[in-house]
Amino acid sequence: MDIKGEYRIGCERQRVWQALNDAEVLARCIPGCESVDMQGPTRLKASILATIGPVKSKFDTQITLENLNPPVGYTLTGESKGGPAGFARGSADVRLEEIDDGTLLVYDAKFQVGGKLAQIGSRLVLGATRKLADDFFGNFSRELDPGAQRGSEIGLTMDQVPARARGMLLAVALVVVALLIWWFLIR
Amino acid sequence: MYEFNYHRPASLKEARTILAGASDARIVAGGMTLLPAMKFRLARPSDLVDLAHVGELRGIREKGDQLEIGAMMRHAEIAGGELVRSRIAALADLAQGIGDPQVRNRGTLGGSVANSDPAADYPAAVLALDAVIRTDRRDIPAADFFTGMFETALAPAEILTSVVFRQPKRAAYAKFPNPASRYAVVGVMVAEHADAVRVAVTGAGPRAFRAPQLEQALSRNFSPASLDGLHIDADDFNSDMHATAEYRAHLVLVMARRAVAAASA
Repeated sequence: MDIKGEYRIGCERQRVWQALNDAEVLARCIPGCESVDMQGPTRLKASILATIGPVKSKFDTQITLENLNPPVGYTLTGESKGGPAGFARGSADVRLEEIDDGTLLVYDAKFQVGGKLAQIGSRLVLGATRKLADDFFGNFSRELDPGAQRGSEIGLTMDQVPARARGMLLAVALVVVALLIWWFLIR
Repeated sequence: MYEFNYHRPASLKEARTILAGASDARIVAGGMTLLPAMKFRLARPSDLVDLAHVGELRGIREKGDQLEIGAMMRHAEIAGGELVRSRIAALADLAQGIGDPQVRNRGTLGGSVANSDPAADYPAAVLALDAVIRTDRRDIPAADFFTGMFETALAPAEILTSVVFRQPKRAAYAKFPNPASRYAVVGVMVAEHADAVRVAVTGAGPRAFRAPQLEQALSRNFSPASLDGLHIDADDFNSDMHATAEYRAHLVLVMARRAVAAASA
């Protein structure tokens, strides 16, 4: 399945690029992220405690950065394992475009799911992803400009376009997909 | 099964004490959602606090034009209760349409409302019947309660004790059920109160919500024809293998018309 999205971030491309490559920043922004281990310049391992409704489970996510083209973009590939729940893997192309009032972040993520996950469709992926995306990009924008949360005019603004296609960076999206098995299996 | 501590308190006070002392406790009401999640290891609480024997959470009481239903009342009890049937038949009908007999005999009003499943039936009734959610520490108006997909205004360890529904002049609930689970692909409750018409939708978006556009149209004229020509925006709607967002938007109007017709009959 595919998740695509665009976010406008009101600061220059170089800064957005640096933040996207900073494991500490990502760890602080990913909802439920408990730890990030750098296992090389382009490899990292994240432990994420995901909580949605009755589900509260820890997922180990392995992320590799490829096709690095600073500060224009990269490809993120990842695999998330949730124990008996199964796994999800996929990749996301992330591209940064300079626009008048800052940077446009565009991503296109593709997933494959395995184990028990393999039989599930896409129910609620959009809704759950949307929420986590809001959390992630909200955190990310404040990370780049702490003043943003005050809503001041000079602060960083974040618009999401288009609303229906909103999504989330791969690491978090994989976790969401993994969470949804439970949903399908009980229906 | 992995290990966890099972508690069965006999009072709210005892339940609160246990919740305060456990590292990662979950409240279990009917267990219709939590237990499957635990079986799949998608939840591993250290402690389960079963509210089944807390007498304070049971019962159905009438107070003026309000009907207060205890959080631990099972769907089957609400569907079959004389008082509910005679005062708010739409609510009894809704309960009768949930899941299957097994679910209706185990699942509870409080569990369903606290879970805020986007496709659950009760949230539509809570919003349309202008309910108040009562907890062990405060009263929460329906409008403030459902905050997102599986998210509510409840604080961690806060216990939902009852739901106080307002009796409408007339009301009805219509849903398009998923044929396997009976969860609402889309469900709409329409309720005409003395002061306003309330229309609440479940199944369509990340959480149950009211539809002001439909409420205005029905306030002018409470008939299915009033809804002709209206358009529901599918932007934030759920899309899955059962129904696209656009189809759900279409179903909202269809179910609303059926509910109005049923309430008028």
